Amino acid sequence: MPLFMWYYCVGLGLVLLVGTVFYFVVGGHIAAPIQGIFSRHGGRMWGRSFRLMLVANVVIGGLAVQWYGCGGYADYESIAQDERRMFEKTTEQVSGALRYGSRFLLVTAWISALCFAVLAHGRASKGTAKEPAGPPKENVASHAAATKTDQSTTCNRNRKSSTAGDHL
Amino acid sequence: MLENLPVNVQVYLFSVALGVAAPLTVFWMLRAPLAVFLGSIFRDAGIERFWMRVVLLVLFCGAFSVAIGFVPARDAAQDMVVLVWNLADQVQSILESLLWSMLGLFLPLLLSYTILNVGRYRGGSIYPRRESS
Repeated sequence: MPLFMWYYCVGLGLVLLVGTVFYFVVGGHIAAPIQGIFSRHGGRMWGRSFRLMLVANVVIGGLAVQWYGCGGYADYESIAQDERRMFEKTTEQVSGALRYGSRFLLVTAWISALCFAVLAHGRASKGTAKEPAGPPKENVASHAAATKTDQSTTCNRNRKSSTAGDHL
Repeated sequence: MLENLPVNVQVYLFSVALGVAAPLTVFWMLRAPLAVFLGSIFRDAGIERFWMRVVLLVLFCGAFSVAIGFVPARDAAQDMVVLVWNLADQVQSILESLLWSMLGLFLPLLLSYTILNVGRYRGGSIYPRRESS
């Protein structure tokens, strides 16, 4: 196998390593936020598809780097003779994988934040709409009874004071 | 058996096999939780079945169309390096097609779930926690 093919294979190996790191660092912890937004089963579906798409994106980023020139697949002589360019291509593969993976994460974060905001906003607005509606019925009855006793005590006090005034 | 075939045909068959296996594997991995998720949106077995078939067909047709449209490079039979570049591009195309199919299928489902469930978030408080003194 020619030397630059070794470089290419090492680049692909590093791309797979990047995919594995992404999978375990982010994909392993995506279950909690996703299951918070969706139900348990919906969360499982979204978590699985998120991991699949994340790894596919990273692999696509690594494969998108062209190791041949503008003349087609057979135009690789310039790279095959220059070891520095082989190294550059390998690093390009890794950087492409990282770039594609991070862009996918960015888009996912954007969409999930929007969904979270929409889902949570309805609950928040419902909560604030209930507040000015007043206390529940049980409390209304007890509140009425309490005001009644207050009124009766104030009436008794007035009567006492009036009788006291009569004495004066 | 395949070793007796010309290299171009072998590469083409590999592409077709990948174009069939990849979408079916993805669908098989997502089938059970996808059915439950679709049920939570549509609540009707007929609509759910329709969506499952749509998902399967879109995934399969997207990847398979790329796979059968593959044209092996002219020098692939003589030059192993050309063969590798050619196959790498093909794998990338199939994966991209799968990815876009998944995004195109699942984003409207996410949108409809979000609209249907506005205000039913159950994942804990939406407000920041207060430190109790």
